[in-house]
Amino acid sequence: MPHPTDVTELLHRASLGDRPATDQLLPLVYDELRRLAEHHLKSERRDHTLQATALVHEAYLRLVDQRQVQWKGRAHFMAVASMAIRRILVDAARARNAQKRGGQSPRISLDHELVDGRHQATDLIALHDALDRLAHEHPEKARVVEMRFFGGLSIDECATVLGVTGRSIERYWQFARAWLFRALNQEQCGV
Amino acid sequence: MREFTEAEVARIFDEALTLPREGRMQFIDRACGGRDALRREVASLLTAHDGAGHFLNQSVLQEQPGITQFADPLLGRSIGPYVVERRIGGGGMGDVFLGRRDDQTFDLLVAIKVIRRGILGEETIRRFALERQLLANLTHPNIARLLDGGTTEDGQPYLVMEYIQGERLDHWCDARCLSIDARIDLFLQICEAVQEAHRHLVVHRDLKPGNVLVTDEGIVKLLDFGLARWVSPRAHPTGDATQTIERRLTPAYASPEQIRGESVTTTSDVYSLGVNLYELLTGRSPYTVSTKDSRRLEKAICDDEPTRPSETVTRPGRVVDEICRRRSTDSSRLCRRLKGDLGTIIMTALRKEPERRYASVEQLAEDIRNERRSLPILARPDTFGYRAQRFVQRNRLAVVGAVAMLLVLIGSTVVSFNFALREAAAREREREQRLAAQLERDRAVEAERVAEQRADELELVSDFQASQFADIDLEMMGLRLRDQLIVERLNALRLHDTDEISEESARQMLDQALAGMNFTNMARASLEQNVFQRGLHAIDEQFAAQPGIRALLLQRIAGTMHSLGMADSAEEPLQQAIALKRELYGDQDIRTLEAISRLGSLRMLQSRFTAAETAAREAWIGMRRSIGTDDPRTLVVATVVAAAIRSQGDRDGAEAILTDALESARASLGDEHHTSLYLMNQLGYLHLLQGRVDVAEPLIRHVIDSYQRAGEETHGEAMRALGYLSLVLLRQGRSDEALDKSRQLLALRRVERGDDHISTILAASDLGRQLIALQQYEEAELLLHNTIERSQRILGEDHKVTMSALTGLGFIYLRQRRNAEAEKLYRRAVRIGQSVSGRSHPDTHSAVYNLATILNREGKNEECLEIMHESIERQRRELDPTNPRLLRCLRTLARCLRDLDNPAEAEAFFREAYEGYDAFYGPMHLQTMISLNDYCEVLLIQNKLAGAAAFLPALLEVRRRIRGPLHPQTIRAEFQLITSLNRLERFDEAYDQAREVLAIITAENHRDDPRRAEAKRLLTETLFGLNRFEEAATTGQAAYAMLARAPEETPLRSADLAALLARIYDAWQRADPEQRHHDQVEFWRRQSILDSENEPANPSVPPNRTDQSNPVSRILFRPWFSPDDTLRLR
Repeated sequence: MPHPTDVTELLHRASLGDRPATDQLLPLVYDELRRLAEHHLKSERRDHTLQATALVHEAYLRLVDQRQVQWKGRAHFMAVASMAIRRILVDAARARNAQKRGGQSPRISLDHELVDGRHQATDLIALHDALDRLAHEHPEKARVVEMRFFGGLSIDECATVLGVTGRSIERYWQFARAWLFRALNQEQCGV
Repeated sequence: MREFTEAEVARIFDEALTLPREGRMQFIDRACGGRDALRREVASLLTAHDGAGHFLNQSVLQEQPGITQFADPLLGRSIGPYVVERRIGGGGMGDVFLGRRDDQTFDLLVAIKVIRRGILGEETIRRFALERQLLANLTHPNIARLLDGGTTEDGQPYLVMEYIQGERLDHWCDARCLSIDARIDLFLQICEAVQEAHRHLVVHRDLKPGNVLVTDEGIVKLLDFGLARWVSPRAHPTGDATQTIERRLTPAYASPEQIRGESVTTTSDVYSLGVNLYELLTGRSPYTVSTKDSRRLEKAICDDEPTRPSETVTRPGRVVDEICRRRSTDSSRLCRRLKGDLGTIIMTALRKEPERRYASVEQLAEDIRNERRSLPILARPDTFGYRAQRFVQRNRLAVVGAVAMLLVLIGSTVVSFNFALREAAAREREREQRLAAQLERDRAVEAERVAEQRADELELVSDFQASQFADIDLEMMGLRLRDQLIVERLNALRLHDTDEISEESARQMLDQALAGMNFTNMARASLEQNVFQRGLHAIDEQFAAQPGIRALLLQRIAGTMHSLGMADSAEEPLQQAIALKRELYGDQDIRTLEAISRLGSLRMLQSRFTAAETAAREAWIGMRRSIGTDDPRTLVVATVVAAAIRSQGDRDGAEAILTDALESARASLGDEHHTSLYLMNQLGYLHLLQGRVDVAEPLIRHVIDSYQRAGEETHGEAMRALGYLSLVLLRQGRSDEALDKSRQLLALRRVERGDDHISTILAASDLGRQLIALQQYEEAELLLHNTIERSQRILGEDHKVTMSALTGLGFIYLRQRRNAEAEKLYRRAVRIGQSVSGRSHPDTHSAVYNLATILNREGKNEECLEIMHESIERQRRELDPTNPRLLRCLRTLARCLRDLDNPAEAEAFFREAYEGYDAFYGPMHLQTMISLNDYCEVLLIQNKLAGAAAFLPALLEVRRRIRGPLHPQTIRAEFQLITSLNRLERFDEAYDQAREVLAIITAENHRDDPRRAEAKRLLTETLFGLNRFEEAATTGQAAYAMLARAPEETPLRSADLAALLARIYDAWQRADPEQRHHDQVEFWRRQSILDSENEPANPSVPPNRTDQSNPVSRILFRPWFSPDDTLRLR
């Protein structure tokens, strides 16, 4: 486990706009989350949501010296964590898919409220793929979805991380959400 | 290869989302401009957007930890027996943590609220600890229990509460799209909890959605009972919290008495419950003020009537659609439900006066249950029970004439009875009663204190009374009156008719029936008769022996009447007050001077400018001596003096005064003081009038910015400044920005006052007229159309604003030559002008003039003549003979006469108009040119050639200057001049003129241009007149050839030209016998006969055909001679 001051220092630099610092952070956060996730997965209930929240919380407590980090730094941590969480959740879904292959269901949904009002489950892997395609044309917009959906960042926090206005984030979000919704529904209808 | 970029898609998509849903498809049609693939792409994204529902809205980190929870030094430490696990919330008073008690035997989760350092003083903490014991006894399934409390090691007080895992009530409801009834069920659970607390004598004081959670099982849990008292300084004025803390707590759910710092009782919770219910059902807060602006919100809570719940959901749009969707209903159903008893229940809970709300939460809950079971409810809409009773008891209000009229109109005693009450009641009902009560009390006080006559106290008393009326908004009162009338009538209809009558159609019917009635006037009349006259009477009766108090009260009442626009009625009491004060205190006392300064303002309102100046100057001089130049009162009276002399025409004098005053104000009060801002607005406007827009701009902008900084964009002065700024920008040619400002002003007015308020309607009308000035007719038409409709419905047909909008729209139609429509509008405008402003008012004259122009255009000249004669006669009495407003009327009159075949009379008026314009604008002005042209034409019609020849050169000069030498109208004038000179046999002059014009045309034009043919023909005549036969013949034949080549283009008759040529050759051979032109003569004669067989014969009229298809020819060859005139040549 990396020393809290390392991560704290990296966070500090990331919040000042240091790209390499962000790149260095991701593997640290990812590894820590993975480790924690594996540990928990053995004994956990199926409820991924609480787990994810708790995981991030725990990772944060372990990795970061909280007294040293300002609000901005925390936003950056969560932004990085959102990437890691995405990866972990997708990996987990793929792993379960592989396990069940040959069984009844070809793909597994993350069963909780990754769903719209009519309780239609969102396929996590499909979302992940669509997000990659979106990132191709609209990298920032895709990043907003990642941060908000996988990292739970607020509009203001996203704005801080990307260095644009909250209004822009809202626009990105609206667009990306519509884009992804269309992408996923088209896929399902075979259009 | 795709035909669009992703950036384009995103841009159009983003923009489309800023529009209301119904306008989006149209917008993208426009924005994509026929690029189908792009359009399809955006459209499919928009469809996806609309269908996306909650897609992705919930993060995988379900609780949206918002990051902040991860950083607190308390984390992981112990508070009492609890270990702090994580932060779960927080606010102004401190943070809330999840704690775990782990004492081996059982695991207990708790919420620990740690009060931020410095919020509570030591004494308070001690009392708090005592009270905590009481709170701990409060157990109820819907109340989160207080378990424990104490002080942390570093001295922070904390509370330990039952940990509730749940969601905020409003979020819970919205997320599940709960119906109204399901929401009411939850609300009733809250009521039970509050009831229970009240039984234990605990008042919550801070009931808000954040304090109400719903557990997974759907159980409501109330948090923080009784805590607000300790942590909110508002509720506990002796608390030692600081101002900043207070600002941090939102007052959105606080009752008026809490805001005023008055005593708080269980009925305060009733009020807060009312607000919660209101929001739960409508999705909006009861006041239109933003909840972020605490100061204004507080004012609204204390003073404004809440918007009726049903009204908040009637305006269609995205927001309402969403609100309805979250309630699994549609807006009409929701509206119906809220309009009925449910609305009454909420409004009863929200009453300002605690004693008029439900006496207990039990009553409130009971009424809600009654409503559910369709049983009669306890609450009565404001008027009927409570106020009607009061009305009868007091039996003081007279039913005014307007009411009697309405009574007949509506035919319902219930309504008219309520109406009479509403009249006096809308906002100031209580105040009016207080005034009466206060006067009574004053009398008692006075009886004891006659000897002392303590002026100070009385000043306070009368101040209080004045404040009762000071902020009445008559327009608002009128509107409310009108709304109330409709609501009452609808209620009455509902009582009588068991059939499902459509409420909408009933409402529309009523709306129609009330259209055009001026409710503001009714409100004013009623107030005057019911309140002020009575007040004045009381003053005379009760204070006959105390002249000082009498003067004071008279002045106050006069001031209030003044501010309500009742200038004439205010004068007498004010004059009395002045007389009394002069006698009591002398002329130089500040009390006397202040009253005199009021008289100055009043006179301004009456437009009696010289009298205003006299009064204001007297006050000004006196005040400078007694209280100094820098006192705000002196500065304000200076603005009155300035306004008075400005209105009399002395703008420079006014400017000097205002500039001085502003300088003193800035030096002594600073740039942000409202007196300084007021002066800047006045001075800025004056500069604007003087055309010094660049000087005006910074002043006006400063006013706007200052109010903005203070969060008071909607202050009257700020909005006025915004209007000025728009004018400034318009003058600077920054028309887009100007429109922006006007639009902003309109939007602010809409938000602040609603669509129906006069200032909103006026702003819309102004914006419309501005759009006209910028020739954006399409938008202007739409806006003005709506404005007329609204203005007519709300303010009445007979209202200046209606008239202003009518003339605006009329002008558009006039420009677009939609004569019949324009005529209709201007007829209305004229009628309004005559009845509202009088026949001699400039606005009326303006409307009459425009109507006359249309009538003339439509050939209705008899009527045109009549109205112009009357208007001119009146204007001659008022205006300078060279005033353009008069001159334009003279010209229209003259045109009318001309078209009625009365050129002789027309000539005189045309000449007067021309000379007037020449004197006013000088010779090189468009108006001068037009008038001169009219004059010349009318001379030519009458064959007054010498006169025409005298004025045409001047016309030519100005035409060349303004229109250019080749403009058809210029060429026409050239031809007219040459023709006139030819006929006058002034051939030498004609020759020069003809050569000149020929040169001009030849230089620029095609060789077969009909203008060139005509010029050559005229030159032929001239040469013939000069006996230069050979040249005449050559020129004439050249002209003939041109005509032959371009016969379609010209109305000139080849036959006439051929005949002319025959005459030339004939005259030539006579003059010179050596010449033999017999063949030529014969040839041209035959040609002439041949040509006339091919052309319609009307040989008596020279160039007389107008080619409708060619505008140049139409202008050029429109006949300018009288029909019986023939071209006579030797």
